[in-house]
Amino acid sequence: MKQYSRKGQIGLIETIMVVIVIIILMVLAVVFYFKFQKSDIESKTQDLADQRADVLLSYVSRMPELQCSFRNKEERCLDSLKIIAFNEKVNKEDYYDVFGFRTFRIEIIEAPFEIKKGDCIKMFKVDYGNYPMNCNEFIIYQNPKPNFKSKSIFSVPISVYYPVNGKYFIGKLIGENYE
Amino acid sequence: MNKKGQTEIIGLVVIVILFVIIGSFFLVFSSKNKNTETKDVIKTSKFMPAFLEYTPCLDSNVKMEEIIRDCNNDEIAPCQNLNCRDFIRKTLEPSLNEFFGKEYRFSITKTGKGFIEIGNCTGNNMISENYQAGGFGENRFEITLAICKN
Repeated sequence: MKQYSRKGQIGLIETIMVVIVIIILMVLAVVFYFKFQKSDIESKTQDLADQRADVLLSYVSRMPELQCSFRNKEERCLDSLKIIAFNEKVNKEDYYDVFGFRTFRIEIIEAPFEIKKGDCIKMFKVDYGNYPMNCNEFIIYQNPKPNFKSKSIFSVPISVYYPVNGKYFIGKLIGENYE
Repeated sequence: MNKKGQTEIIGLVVIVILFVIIGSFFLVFSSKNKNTETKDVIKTSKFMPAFLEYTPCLDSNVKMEEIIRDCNNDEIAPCQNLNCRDFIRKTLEPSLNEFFGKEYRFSITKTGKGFIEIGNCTGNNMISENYQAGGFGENRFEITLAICKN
């Protein structure tokens, strides 16, 4: 009888151990599944943020406030004088709903003469005589997120027209997304 | 007793293998590569109009589109005293490298014949955009810009 009792107890303990191990395995499987799902959702969120940034870049390149026009016909470029006027006259809070915490700027890549590094909007005011040779960057909208951890950068080629001399330069329209 | 022990060891090994498989799945899916195809298509389609509008000469406002259209064989470019094809190549390459690195193939075709080719694609996958400009008839030319993907 004593032997049967012991065997029974051992059998019970074994069963309990097996059940505990199965429960642990199931909990681990659920944890892994949710971690995988979280990673997938984060990746999709990032993809959506990237797509939104691409859409916004296209929007900026077609904004009537910045786009070139000739006799009411839109052209495939951004007007540098319009960019300067936009920066001076427009309150960035008016565009917060559309752009949020982002920065949009243009960097000139190719010009028919050598140009220096500099902010074109500032140089237009302080050193107009040497403009546009004294600058290579236009900041269209700048609103960085406070205490941002990282930023992703997107860019597309763009043509920039300079009414001061009738020339077109090749630039990079850059969007910065703050995370 | 021996058989029981062996059975339990096999059970343990199966559990460890299951863990390793689940862990590998997790690692594989959490480090998926981003698909950059849409971005490349947008970049390619925006580059060509920007390049064609560019005015490369210091003392005139002639655009690249006109320079390419008027360049046939060995004419001299409107500035820098270069053969027009060499001038187009020299003007194009820095911008192409800036936007697309080294993995691109750019070609201009006039009246169905190859006119200029820059770059080489080593991979099999390509994102390609065609663009037509120059006006009508004989003046028309076609630009193809392909981004190479491995």
